[in-house]
Amino acid sequence: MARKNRDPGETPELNLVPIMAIMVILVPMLIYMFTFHQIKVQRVTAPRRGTGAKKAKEEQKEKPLNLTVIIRKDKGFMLTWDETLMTEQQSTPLIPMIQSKDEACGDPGDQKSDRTPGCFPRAQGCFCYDFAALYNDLVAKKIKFSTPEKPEKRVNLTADSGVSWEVVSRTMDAVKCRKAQDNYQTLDEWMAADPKLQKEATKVPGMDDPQFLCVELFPQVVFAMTE
Amino acid sequence: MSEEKNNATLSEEDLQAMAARMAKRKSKPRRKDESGDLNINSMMDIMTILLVFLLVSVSSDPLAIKESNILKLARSSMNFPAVYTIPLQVNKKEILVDGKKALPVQCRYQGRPCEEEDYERPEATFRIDDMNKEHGKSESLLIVPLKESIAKAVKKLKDQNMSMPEDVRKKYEANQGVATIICDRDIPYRLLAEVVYTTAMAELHDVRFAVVYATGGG
Repeated sequence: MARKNRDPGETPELNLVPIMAIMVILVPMLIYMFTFHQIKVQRVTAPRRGTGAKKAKEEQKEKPLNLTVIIRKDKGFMLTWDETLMTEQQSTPLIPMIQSKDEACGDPGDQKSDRTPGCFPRAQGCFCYDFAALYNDLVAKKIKFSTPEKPEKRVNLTADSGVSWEVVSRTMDAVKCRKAQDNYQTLDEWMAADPKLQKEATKVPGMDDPQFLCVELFPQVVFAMTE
Repeated sequence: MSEEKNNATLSEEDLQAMAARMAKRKSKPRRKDESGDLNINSMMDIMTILLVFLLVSVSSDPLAIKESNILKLARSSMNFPAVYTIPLQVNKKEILVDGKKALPVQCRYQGRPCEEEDYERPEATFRIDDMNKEHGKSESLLIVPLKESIAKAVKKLKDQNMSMPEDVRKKYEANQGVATIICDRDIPYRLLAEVVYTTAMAELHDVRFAVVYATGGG
């Protein structure tokens, strides 16, 4: 049994091949589990049952405008409010869907192709919900009816039964956050604009670090529904 | 001149020697146990960094959503962060509460139940079966099995929180009345309203919808 004498200066080499084999399995598995996009949330307040007439009256005192955004399937948006505050009108005329570039509706032959949220193909071309016009109207209402002492915060949101969540979600974008400008001429301009961020970070319950949230337009969105 | 000659002679000799060496090498078979030595140290370094990065990213994601043909999230410019709450997933096939199936979603295309390829068609409709609603009425907003599943999940979460250290418990208690709905972008408003209403009936009044953060029209 001849044994090789190890040179005292020589360090033993670690066999990394089995570790490497584990890594090769583990890394693709984790890449599969990894989400490549950032997940955020949109907050909604669910309506409460049995709040009582007294509380309802108090709420009415605090939020007198009672602004409601209605999404009409394949038609557009409507805004209604408390008639006692704006006697000249009780609702805006329909904010209709507008024709957009065909690319906004994706490839008509491929159902999986990406299209701009809120844009749908029709026989006459590609039509999109006019989020820019809705945003312009909401900002105008906010400026007219909100004061620093009595800020207008609440908007009721309702829609036709068949309106998809994608459209409701984009509508909430237009309702909740202010963008750099108060008025946008085109839908593309509105879409391209990022929300205006608050100058100071806010503490969010459940999060360790304060977050830079968007400047609020109507932060409290209540889903209105009829039974 | 003599130097040039010498060089030419040497190179000729060299060539011959090389040819002989190569012939010898070819005739000598390689031993089976002799393996090509590949240095995998640098590869190990890359893998280790990648592994740590992926482990941190995956474990810090409170929702860990994987998109598929039955679950595609809406895109939004909202930047409110997601926190650890009870997740409710509403996809095109079923509603899941905290990862467990609560009830199925009915999908219909051209009057018949959807087949696998129909889920992505824009004409497909999604609803909850009337028998799962309060008193079996189609106009009811309350989905009974969903309310029961949420109540169970809320109770489980409360029990889990009780066994946690105080600082962690305080962090979670702030989000006890919160539900995060992971909803497919094609789900209609009616179904959405029913889910939100039922969630509120199960004492979760702060409802949050998971969206993919996208700016610039994305």
